[in-house]
Amino acid sequence: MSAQGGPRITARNRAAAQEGVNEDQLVTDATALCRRLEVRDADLAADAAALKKLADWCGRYTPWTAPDANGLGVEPDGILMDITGCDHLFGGDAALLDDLVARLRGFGIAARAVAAATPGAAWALARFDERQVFVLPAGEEEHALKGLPIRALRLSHDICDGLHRLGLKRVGDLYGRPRAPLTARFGPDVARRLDEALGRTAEPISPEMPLVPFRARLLFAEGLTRIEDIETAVERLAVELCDLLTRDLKGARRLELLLFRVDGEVSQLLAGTSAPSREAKHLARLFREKLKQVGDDFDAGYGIEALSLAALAVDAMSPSQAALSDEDSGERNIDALIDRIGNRLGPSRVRRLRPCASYIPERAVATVPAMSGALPPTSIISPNDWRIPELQKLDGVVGRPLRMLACAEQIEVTAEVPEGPPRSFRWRRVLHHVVRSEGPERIAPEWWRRDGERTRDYYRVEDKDGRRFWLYRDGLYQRDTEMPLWYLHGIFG
Amino acid sequence: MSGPAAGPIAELRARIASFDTAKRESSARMISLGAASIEDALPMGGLRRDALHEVAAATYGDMAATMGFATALVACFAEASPMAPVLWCEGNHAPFDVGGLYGPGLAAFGLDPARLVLVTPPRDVELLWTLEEALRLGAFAAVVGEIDAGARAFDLTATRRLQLAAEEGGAPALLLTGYQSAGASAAATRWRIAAAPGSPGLRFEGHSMELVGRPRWKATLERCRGAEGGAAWLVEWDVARRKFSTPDRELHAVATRRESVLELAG
Repeated sequence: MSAQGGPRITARNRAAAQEGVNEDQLVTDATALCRRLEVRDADLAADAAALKKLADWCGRYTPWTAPDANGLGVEPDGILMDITGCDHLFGGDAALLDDLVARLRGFGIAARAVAAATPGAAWALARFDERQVFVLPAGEEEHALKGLPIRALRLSHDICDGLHRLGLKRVGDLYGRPRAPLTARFGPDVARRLDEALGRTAEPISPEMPLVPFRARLLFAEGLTRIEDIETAVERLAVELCDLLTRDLKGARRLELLLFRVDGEVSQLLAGTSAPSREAKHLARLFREKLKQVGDDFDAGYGIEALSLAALAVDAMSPSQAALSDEDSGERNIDALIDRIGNRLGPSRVRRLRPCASYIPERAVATVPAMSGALPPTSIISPNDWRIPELQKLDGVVGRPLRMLACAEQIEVTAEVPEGPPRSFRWRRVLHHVVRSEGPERIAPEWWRRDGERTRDYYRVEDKDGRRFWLYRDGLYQRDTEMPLWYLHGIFG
Repeated sequence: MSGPAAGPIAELRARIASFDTAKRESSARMISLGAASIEDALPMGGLRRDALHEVAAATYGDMAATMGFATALVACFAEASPMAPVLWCEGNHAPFDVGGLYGPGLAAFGLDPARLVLVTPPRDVELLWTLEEALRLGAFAAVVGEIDAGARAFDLTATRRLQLAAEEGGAPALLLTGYQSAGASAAATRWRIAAAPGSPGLRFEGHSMELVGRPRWKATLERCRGAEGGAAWLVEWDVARRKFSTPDRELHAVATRRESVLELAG
């Protein structure tokens, strides 16, 4: 669809093509040509998503795969793959392309695949050459592109139209032509695109393509369906990956496991570690729980035909650290377990407590994810940080509640005198008669915070049945407020 | 133990005992609770370290007391293996909705908060999985889980799995099971806790009320494998010793407490 002259055709099927409907044709012209034409709105976002999915699937051939940002029309219509160094795994470039096209045909996708030494030449030949599978030997770009239309140079519509008007219709027409007038008229794109296609200047491949130096891959002739087999495959991959990591003295922090399903679906599983690791067993186990969760997909009869395990983030890891992890020391094992729990339940669900320097009860402690890196040994947090001597009252009486409500709950209180201890209170609809109480423990707000907090008077109380609570009156009577409210903040065991 | 004419029976018992892994016990695998009268009621004079123990509340209102008693038990276990951390799986829904574990409170209670690994699993299935994995590892001083006895995932099989995992790893498992009456369980002991007034507090002149004393609970040993359950005690938590005591057996003189400074300025 485009604005000029009304909506245009963005894509057509084979039947429409036989009737003479062309891409970029005005919809009104097309319907005049063919009465039975069914026209639907183009969904560019869905097209892009589908192309991305297909590009992910192509990851079974090479990690460097991405939708090509340049399309023949407005939207991207191709996938760019860098198969350097990957072709031998499939028996050569041509065999790789044959396999790719055959598999795509299996999904009902008619595709053309061209391998060339430059992205520009491959782009041009894939779109304007008749051959479905074609490998262009390096150095023959000039000859191969000569007869192709100017549009094969990945130039914008306006530039193509301009060149046409000058009578430059084929790529070959540009060969040997003085560049200055062309650049003056159309900008630097013409010369740049030509040089890129012919390999005269290097074209950086899309930065979108991630550089993943630590990756291991396994392909299977037949799809794996049993989860045990997949687990074994992951273990093999982990061993391979750990060899790579060992060579560079690195340890994995973030891992990505890609499962390529026979029907073209790609599932991505991510896992993290709390400390750099290159222990194959540990890394493989991180995925065990996740595999179980996606296990239902495997039961559907689809198998996994390829697997790829990559370390997306790595940290330096000296050999001595690795040696430590090999032996069964308890601390290491606990880290490994925390990793596994965190990977299954989510990192925020496994936490540690850390004391904070604040007298405000809810700010005296913070929870930090246990996976957020190695925790300082317990000896570094001294008991003094929790101010135990202050909190353990004389005679073993406990000064702080065992459990604290995330949000203090308001209670109805009766007291003999407004500034005195509570006599009875109602919490969660139950009335408690106070028989013992201690307080007030006055906690003033932190003056440097201007959030309108009031001074709190805390009371430790025990009711008739021996239930112990921590209550506070919010604000000083008469000085802060006429009718201070009462809250229940925590419970003692 | 056996009568004079029970030769064959004694022999059979011995053979059964040799099959049962649980009988390979040594005193090193026992945790002393500190109070002689409780230890008399337990088969080996203490709580087994490689076993599952359940702690339940008498009513919903006793949940706080139950958590206090359970924390005290965990502190006992933690004291026995001083370097190992404690894994605690919190259940944040009813009946465990009385707030999250509070570091300073735990510290004051005698359990070092720095040793805690807190896990909040989204569902009971994941909670049981986490407990089992942690128990198998055997590197924790104690593994604690909060799961409602009425929950669907909680049954004999679940407790059996936990008991086996505890035996395998040699780490104690502690389940807080809420206030509902639980069905069959493979746990070594089940305690039922009710709130009890704390130790007698001081009364200052001019004050209408006593101060709050040390925490106490009414603890019933509802079930105990290898012994008769049903005994009940009034127990008191001694923070300094990290041990329980049974104050109604030992004469307890109210010590005169010096006036403690209560004001903590912010």
